[in-house]
Amino acid sequence: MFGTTLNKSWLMSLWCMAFALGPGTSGAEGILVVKSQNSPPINQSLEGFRGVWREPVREVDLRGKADSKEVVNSIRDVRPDIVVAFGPQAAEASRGSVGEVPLLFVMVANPAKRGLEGRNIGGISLNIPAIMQFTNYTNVVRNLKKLGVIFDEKKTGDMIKEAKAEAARIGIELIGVSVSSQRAVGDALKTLLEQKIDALWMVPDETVVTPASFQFLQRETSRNKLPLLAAAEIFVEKGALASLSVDYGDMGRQAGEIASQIIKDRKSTEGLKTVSPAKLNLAINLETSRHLGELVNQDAVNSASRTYP
Amino acid sequence: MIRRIPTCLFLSSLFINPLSADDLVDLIPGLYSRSGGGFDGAPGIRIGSADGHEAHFGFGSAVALRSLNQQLGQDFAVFPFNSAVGAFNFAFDPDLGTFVSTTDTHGPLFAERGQTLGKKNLDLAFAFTFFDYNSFNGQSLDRYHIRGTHIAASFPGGDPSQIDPGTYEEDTVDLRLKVKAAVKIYSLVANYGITESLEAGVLVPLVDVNLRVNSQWSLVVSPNNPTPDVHTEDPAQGAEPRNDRASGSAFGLGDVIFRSKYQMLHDHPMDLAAAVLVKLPTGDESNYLGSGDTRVRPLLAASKRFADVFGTPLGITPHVNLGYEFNLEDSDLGSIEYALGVEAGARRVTLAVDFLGSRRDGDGQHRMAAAVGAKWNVWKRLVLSTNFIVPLNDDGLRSDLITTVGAEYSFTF
Repeated sequence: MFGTTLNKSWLMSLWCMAFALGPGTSGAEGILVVKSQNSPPINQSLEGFRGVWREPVREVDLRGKADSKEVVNSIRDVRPDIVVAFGPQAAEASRGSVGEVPLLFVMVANPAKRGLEGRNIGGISLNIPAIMQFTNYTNVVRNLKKLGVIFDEKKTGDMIKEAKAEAARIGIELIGVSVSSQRAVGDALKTLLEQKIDALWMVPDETVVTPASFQFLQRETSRNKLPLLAAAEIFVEKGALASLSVDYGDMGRQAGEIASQIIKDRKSTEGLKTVSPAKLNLAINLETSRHLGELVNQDAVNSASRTYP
Repeated sequence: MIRRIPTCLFLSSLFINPLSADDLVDLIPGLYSRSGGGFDGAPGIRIGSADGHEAHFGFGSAVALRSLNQQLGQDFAVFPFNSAVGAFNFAFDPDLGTFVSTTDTHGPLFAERGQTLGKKNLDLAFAFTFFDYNSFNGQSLDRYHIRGTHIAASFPGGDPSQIDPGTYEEDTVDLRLKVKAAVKIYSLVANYGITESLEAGVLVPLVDVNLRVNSQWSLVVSPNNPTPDVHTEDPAQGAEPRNDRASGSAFGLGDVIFRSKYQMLHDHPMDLAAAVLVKLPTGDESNYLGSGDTRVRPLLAASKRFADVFGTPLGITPHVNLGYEFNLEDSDLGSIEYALGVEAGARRVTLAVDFLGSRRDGDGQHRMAAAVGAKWNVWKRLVLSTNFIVPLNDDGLRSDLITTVGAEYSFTF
């Protein structure tokens, strides 16, 4: 009798201890990290993540393939509290494998288009919301009221439509000219120049941005003393005035904090959602800035994360 | 231009008697020509004879000397065409949702790659190449031996090589040459992107050739010669002085090369381009500044870029070239040209290795060499480069080490 009571009490204690320690101690390592590949941006992000989450994690490298088998096996082995996926292949492979385990993705562009939404799914998008870009660029270009953009309706039409509404919220008129081929970029720029735009905004549109068209845009905007706000930092190095880019390391840090809140602070995963990168890097081409003179706000130049040349 | 110095056997160390000739190409054939040992102006050696017969040795040596001389003419003007630095290229990375730079290496050393410069890009380069020739078909030019045979008594009138066996005509002459051939090439290169996929360029070389030849002959008496004293090295008995030497130099425009390249495939599944090189005989052939031939080389160049290799910022670009060089003057000198190599580098520095091959139709000569080097992007679009070519086999006229240093800058208009 005594023995039976003792056994029951002992078992009850164990159950209570397990409950108190939470799901992370049920033989699990807490976090399963799945990365798309071993690339520098992903490694930088992972480093930022480890800066916050210092405990050991199980890591799976998909080597560029969205292979869900390896993820499923790892989830079975590790039984993690949360899966943190770095890169689109990792996120897509994990999405169908996690079941009830929360999925936190990092470094994924256009996550909604990849089906990365829903209950227990959230993460940090690579996309910089237009409003964040416009807000930052109004600090760079003085009296930015009319912003021109050349785009392909088929590729970035939806994005431009949303951006127009966002721009209007802060008093900027976004004037878009749609083109269907790179050859039309010259005429499109001419149209925008006739409308007296204050700056040209470059969006990641493959129809518009080609090596040849960039050289044309860079040359013509310089000739017309028009700030060129580029879609990537590589263009600033080659003469565009400014760009905003995400900080991969900081995105990892951001993910580490979210994961930490879920596991250590036992924050509900019901509210997981897609958020924007917390930190943006402003790059400025100093030569172009000097060429544009008064059009550029010197305070913004001084606060740039990176300058060229 | 050329100093030619025949030296008497007895006074060889005391007197130097410079003579002049017109061109470098006459320098080697002109050895021992004062005595008229050869025929038809060909080099030949006359040695002494005890019985008063005119002992001419020359035909075999003339062939060998002519061959060496011809090879000098063909190879002196052959030099590699440095590959141009790429322009600013980028591609949209759907994973990162942004554009990323794709020019992560600065191009191969001598091979062509599948990419073009891009529209309105101008690449200007200067290269300085210097080397000494060290061997010819595996034989050191420091101790280059040529066997001279007796000219048959039946000649003229019969075949000069049909000697009478078992007679003094089996005697031979050993000719030992020490050839010092130094070459410096100053190349000016310009390449321009006409369209995004088409580029054209020109290479203008200035060539400096310095040639010095020392020679010494010795008599080899055949054991089958029943009259072993009939030939002698004694000048008193009419022998050509054993030592001779000549030197000369030339500087001037080499063979200008025009090139054009069209990129047919862009990155998927690889970069692939068709190119044509046209080498014009603008260099003075008689002074080894040019080959004297017009050569046209169509070729295909393929390369594939791999970025962020092993999770590092390292980019690797293997490349392969295959072409055929038509010699419009002499089809026997047409050759299959190929190159295989890889460039590896990050943003500023590129290390590259090329394996270069050329197989000539007429004589089957197959020259293989390896090139290793580095390119360093020191400032903006200024790239400094250095590379070394070493031979991998013995065929033809070869240098143990060909060194090139250069600088190039690309502009966008």
